[in-house]
Amino acid sequence: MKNRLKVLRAERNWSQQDLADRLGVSRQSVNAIETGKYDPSLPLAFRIADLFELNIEEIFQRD
Amino acid sequence: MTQTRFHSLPDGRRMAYRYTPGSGPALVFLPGYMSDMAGSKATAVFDWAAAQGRECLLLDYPGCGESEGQFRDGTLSGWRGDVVCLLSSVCVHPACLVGSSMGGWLMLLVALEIPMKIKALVGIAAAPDFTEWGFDDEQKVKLTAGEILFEDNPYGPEPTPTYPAFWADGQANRLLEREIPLDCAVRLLHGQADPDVPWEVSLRLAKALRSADVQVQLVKDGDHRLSREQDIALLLNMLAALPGVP
Repeated sequence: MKNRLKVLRAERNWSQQDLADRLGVSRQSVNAIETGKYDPSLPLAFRIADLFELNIEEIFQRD
Repeated sequence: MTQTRFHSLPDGRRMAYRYTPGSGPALVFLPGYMSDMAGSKATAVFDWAAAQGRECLLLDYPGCGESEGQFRDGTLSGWRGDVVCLLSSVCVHPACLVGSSMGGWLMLLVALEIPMKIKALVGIAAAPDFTEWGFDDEQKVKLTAGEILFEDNPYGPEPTPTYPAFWADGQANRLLEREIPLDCAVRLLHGQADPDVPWEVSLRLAKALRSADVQVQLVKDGDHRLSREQDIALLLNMLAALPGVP
């Protein structure tokens, strides 16, 4: 699965730690999602979508 | 920001790293379990080294961060070989290894492999032998039987897996039960409020090391990450004061 998390984060000038704090997860989780090493759970994907005020499919796409 | 580069390992996997040239010894940061080189400590060490004109190397273990590979294939002895390969290819000067948590175990294994290329070791909440003291009997039985262990862990993607091959390899690479034949300078930093790696592990490590030049610094209210501003300042002071640093 591909995602735009790194771009969305950069647009807001947030570090991985900033985003992790806003989502209530570890920085390593953010890194693993951004690099495609880890697909987030559905609840976490919804939290990410809510945070960026986007639909899930606007952030995550199939390969 | 210095761009991520990729080094091709002998088997073709590409390992991600960041490098800045400069005077020696080269600072080489080894991240913790399921961590990566984008963390605040690694970044702070890199930025400081670049500002000081010091050689510095950050890296992602295969299967972690931007490196290729699957995390489930990672073992300490595998990563030891990968780190030795990258370090030997990239660094100009002998190295000072800076290991965080599991990276503090790996730095010892790397130093034992290439002692002539290592000037000093700096452990941050170093966690040697965590496959032994970090799991209870029930978990060890499961891992011995080949089961993957999943645990809640605030530092990695939840739930955090421990793979049987990683665990068995860790058990085969335990170090604290006998003298560790290393003679370089060693500095160990550990928070006494660390809920994951007891600070006593750093004292055990200090005792097990053969080197006489070993110092332990404890931070009473420091947690496992030791990433607060004051913790990072302490770490950078420690690096600046290492013997052999101009």
